[in-house]
Amino acid sequence: MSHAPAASHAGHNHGSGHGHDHGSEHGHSSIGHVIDHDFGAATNGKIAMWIFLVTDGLTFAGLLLGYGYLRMRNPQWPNPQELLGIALTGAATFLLICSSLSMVLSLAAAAEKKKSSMLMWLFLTALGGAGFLGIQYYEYSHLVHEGMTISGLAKPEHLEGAWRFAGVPENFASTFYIVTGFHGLHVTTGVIYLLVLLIKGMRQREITPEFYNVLEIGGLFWHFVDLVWILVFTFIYLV
Amino acid sequence: MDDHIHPEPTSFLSKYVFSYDHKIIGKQFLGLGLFGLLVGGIMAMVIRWTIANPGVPFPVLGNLLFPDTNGVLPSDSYLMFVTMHGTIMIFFAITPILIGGFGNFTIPLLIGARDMAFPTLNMLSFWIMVLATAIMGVSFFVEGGASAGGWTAYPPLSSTMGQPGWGHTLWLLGIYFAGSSSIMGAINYITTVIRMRAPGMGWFDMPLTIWGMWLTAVLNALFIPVLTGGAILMLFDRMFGSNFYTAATTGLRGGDPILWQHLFWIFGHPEVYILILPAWGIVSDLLSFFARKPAFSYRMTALAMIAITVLSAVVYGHHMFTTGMTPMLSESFEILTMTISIPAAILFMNWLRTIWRGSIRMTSPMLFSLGVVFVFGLGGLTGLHLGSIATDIYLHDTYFVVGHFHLTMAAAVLFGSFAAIYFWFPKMFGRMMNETLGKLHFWATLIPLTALFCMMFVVGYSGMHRRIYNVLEYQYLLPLQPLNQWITIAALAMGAAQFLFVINFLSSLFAGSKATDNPWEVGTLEWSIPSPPPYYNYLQIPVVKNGPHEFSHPRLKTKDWLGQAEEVPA
Repeated sequence: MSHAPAASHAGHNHGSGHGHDHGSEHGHSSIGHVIDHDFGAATNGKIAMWIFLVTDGLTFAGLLLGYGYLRMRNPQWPNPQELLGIALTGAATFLLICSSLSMVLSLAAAAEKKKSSMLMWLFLTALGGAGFLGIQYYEYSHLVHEGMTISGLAKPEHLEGAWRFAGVPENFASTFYIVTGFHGLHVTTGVIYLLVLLIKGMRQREITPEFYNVLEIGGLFWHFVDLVWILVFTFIYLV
Repeated sequence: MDDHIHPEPTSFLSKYVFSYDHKIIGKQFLGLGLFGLLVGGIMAMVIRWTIANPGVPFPVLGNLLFPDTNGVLPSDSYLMFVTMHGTIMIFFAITPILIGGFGNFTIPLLIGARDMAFPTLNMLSFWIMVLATAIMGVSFFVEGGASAGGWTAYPPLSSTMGQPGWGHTLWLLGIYFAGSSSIMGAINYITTVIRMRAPGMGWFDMPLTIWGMWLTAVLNALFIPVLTGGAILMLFDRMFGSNFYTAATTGLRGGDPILWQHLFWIFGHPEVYILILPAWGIVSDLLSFFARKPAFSYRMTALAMIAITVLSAVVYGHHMFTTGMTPMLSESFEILTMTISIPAAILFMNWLRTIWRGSIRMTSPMLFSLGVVFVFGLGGLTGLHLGSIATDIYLHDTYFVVGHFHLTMAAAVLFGSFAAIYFWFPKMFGRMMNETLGKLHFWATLIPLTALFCMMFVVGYSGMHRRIYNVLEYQYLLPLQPLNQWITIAALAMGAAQFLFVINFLSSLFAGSKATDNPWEVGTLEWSIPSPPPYYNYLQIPVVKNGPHEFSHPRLKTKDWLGQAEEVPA
């Protein structure tokens, strides 16, 4: 099969969604399309991931909008910094940002076809995500212990004297768990995603352009999870 | 055979059930949607029957559906029927027919591709839709029945107080899965149109059908997630005792039910354009095809659709004029809403200009396309009364609203679906549909449909609320009851007319005359390959040289149309 307009196939390969396809020597994919230069050499998988990230971002937007609306309409909303404490979560944020950096380093190693270095950075990225989840678990269990639950704020019997959540609207607790929990779900997914990439990477004899593309798409998701956390951290903890 | 073409699946399961082929998936969606249309349609008949004849058993099916009340729709199920009629029609009839069915079928064929960008995602999208349908179906049989919170699910009607059973929780899950299916479809459609157009096909060489489908996919990808966010909050309210939507704007307990309305309509208003955009695209193409003229001002039509897509995102507040938002906000929403009439009028004028002085072929797809223009015109003009605050406050929540949105997003989209079915049936199944029955179906649908929804405007203008179970209990509505009975007669007549379609569809499926490759004599790519297309669509990917509506080119001697991949003769 041949086409009249020849197209460059630089950097063109298939995304992960293309399970039963394979690239071809003609510069178009096995289902016969030609690269559209309006969109550069981005693969189908990469475009799809970007669209998905927009989609996912808007789900967060919906939740954050709900949070902002409820908070704006309630004059008794407390200063979250004082109630939640930002030292521990700040550390978790730093960990997550570091894991973004290690993701970049992993991709850089993949570009230089250094397999072991790529795998090490990838592993550290997943470890950073797991560490974040551990801190979140610790934080949640503490807060629940103090009576802050998804359905509101109930003072536990064993607490005596001044209770630090006294006079706080219950939606302070509910919105906190919904937004950070939804983000935690993304970190969980992301860690699983990274581990799948790690296993895929270990099975590669050498780093192919296809694998580089798959890794890059996974990296997009991971950076998105980090970026969203910066927003969540700002809105839920800081302001 | 070229090694770029996948081997044809051989087993029944891989060919017709778990198929990767966009054409089969499109047919699967179409079947699912037609089933939804049947269920939702029967519910509409029951609702209309109850309004016209309170306390009289529903004929034929009554005893089967409501054995405990001798065939009368009980008052506690009335709102459930209203809710599920709306939900099924929007998410499980129109969405699968036009977006799932024809989106899947047309996109790769009309842009000259062999399949979607992600065939596996496509299959997953269909099966998640089946799961969503199953969840909605199951919700009828749980204790307390299906959701009765209205398709807009406003709290507190949809809270555990208003809906104590599992029905509404399952409704939320059903919407969630249907939404996931649509998002998967949207990601697939957007990527496919961006990357897999045949060589030579620029953005403004695409058939307008593809523009409609693509913009719908964009809106789906952007706004279903917001509904998902809102639905998560509602799910937690129902399941885990949070109080996001419980009324109390100050104090420690409770949140705000209006929050749901914001989150719902941020999605809900684009949703009406999600439903209508594919129909607009299809109609823009078909009017040109059957008027044997190029679509008038193709580029402006496409740009008008883009403008409407963008504006649809910023007008949702006009659904909430009566919630007491600040006049500054509501006036902004009013002005933005009125702005939509500019691109809509451009679209409308382009349609009229396309058929103006054309050599019109009155085939059934053409009739249904003209029907879209007519009913959308009626619906669009009555929309002005609802977009303007002064009149909306009076008309809000009356039958005027029901008449308006049924003309725009039910009647227009239904006619668009029928136009698409009559038009692409030969390409889908390789057989022609019966033209006489098709025309009869059109007139037998159009006349009662126009009558019934226009009478709804009168009833609504007279002040009838949209969710009344027994009209006879309201003294001031008694003079309207004869009109309500006429509406019901028209509705039943329209419902009965659909049997013509069912007969036509089924008989043509098995015994219709064989379709040629290009029975309508049009130039878009899908008509250059056999009917039905082989599983790989195009043996050789076509190279596009013309726009989609090349009719009556002066150099053409023997025919009046030019294929998109054909050279203009010297």
